[in-house]
Amino acid sequence: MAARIRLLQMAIAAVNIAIVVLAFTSIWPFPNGDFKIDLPSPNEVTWTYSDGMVHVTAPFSIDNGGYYDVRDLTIDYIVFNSSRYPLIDPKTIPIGDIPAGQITSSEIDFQFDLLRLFNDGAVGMVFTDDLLTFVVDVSCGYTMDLVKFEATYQVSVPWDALIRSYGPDWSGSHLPDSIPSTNLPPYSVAYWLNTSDILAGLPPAQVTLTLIGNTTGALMSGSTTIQLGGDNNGTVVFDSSAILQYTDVPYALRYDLRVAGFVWTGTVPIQGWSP
Amino acid sequence: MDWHSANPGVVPVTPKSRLSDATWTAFTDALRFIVVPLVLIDLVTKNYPQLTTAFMPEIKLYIIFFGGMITAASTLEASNKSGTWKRLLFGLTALAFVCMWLFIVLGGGIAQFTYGPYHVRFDMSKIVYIMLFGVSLKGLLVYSTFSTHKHYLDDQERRRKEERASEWAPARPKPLPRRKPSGPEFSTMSKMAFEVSHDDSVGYAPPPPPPPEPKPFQRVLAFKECPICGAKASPKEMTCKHCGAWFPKDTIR
Repeated sequence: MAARIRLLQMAIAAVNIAIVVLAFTSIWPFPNGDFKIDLPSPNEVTWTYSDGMVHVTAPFSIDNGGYYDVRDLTIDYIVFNSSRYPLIDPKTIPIGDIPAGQITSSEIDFQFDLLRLFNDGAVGMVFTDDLLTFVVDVSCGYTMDLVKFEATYQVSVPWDALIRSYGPDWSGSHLPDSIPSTNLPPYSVAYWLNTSDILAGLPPAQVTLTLIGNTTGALMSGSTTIQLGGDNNGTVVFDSSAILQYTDVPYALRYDLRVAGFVWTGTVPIQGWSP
Repeated sequence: MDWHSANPGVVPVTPKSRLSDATWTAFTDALRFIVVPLVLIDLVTKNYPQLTTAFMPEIKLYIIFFGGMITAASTLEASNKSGTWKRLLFGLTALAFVCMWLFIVLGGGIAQFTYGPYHVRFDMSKIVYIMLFGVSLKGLLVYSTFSTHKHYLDDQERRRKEERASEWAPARPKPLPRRKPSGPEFSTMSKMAFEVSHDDSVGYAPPPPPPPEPKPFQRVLAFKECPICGAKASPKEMTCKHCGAWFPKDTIR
């Protein structure tokens, strides 16, 4: 009898030890860092822009340094801007199984239509810097699917405005100052444009300027092109400057800009003019 | 073969040792299931406040309750004699509470960890169920111990009953000696003297003459006493030399 009890005790102890080992080897790789997900850092994210679409690529890797295979690894992600506006619909990357001891690399690859956002009124990302948040959900099974692992990571990546600044350079401009003007034609306005580097290589920006008179409205206009990518400038030289010298004095400058598909307009007062 | 020789190593527990066992069980179980877990939980919640489980807000209360129930049940189990139904009941109850306690401590197998922008959810409920299965296997041990000792107790009880029955049974009358079938008793016979003479004419054969009995050894005295004066004289003497009296005829050789 005693031998039977002792045998039963040993069998139970063996089963319990096996269970403890199973539990330990299933859990330990996660807090110990043997199973880890290397998410993309901001400097690993690459951006390209083409025809109003921003294409984003962000590499990541998953290291299964545990004791068991990872099963059905799936990565879901979505991207928000700082105002929690979703730039894309939720996307899924099915990775599948990762054998124990192996590292799997993949990349988050998506694009969003910035031009559509711009036309819809979401102009923030075009003219101001932003912070894009990548929300990445990782789910997988471990230890023969006895353990379910789910994790949500957020990676914030700075977004540089496509068109950072623009405007006339009055110090480099030449405009009539009175009637008749003491400044002789030809009249011109210098204009500068600072754009994101990802726009470099695209067709140059088209800048059209119109001088608005004090009493007669639009006096004359001219246009020029400015290279994209970085800080560039151009000068608009107005035709019929001689007529302008005797008719009116411009007090405002209207600009029409076409930069990488983005079109907008505005008016600025001419510096130093007081009617 | 008695129970002890059939169960080497299984020592029946006396009431005194059961009491000390119960005390020790209460102490160790209170340590194992209440004190140490509370200290560990306190350490974990202080160092990792981001870790949450379903029972985390009230986990200390749960540990005290279920740990207390385990301690109570185990103490009652140890205080009862092995092989009794009470011990089996309390043993299995303690085991059930251990399973509940483990389930609570492990948060039902689902743990969540939130740290800044990171959120990790770890669902190991299947492993927890396997662990509960492993713990519940001890129920087999409890039952096996119960059945083994129950057999012993049943034997003891049967023996005790037999002894008690023999003590309380009424004294049996002594069986009378069996009478030999014999002829009429002397008591029933007439006490009047009568002569029985054999009658050969009715067919009785005269019994054979008894074998000659050996003469008993008679010690021959070397002297005889005078019946008158008591003086000693030789057996051949016819008269006493002391007083001159005649000796009886049968004393003369």
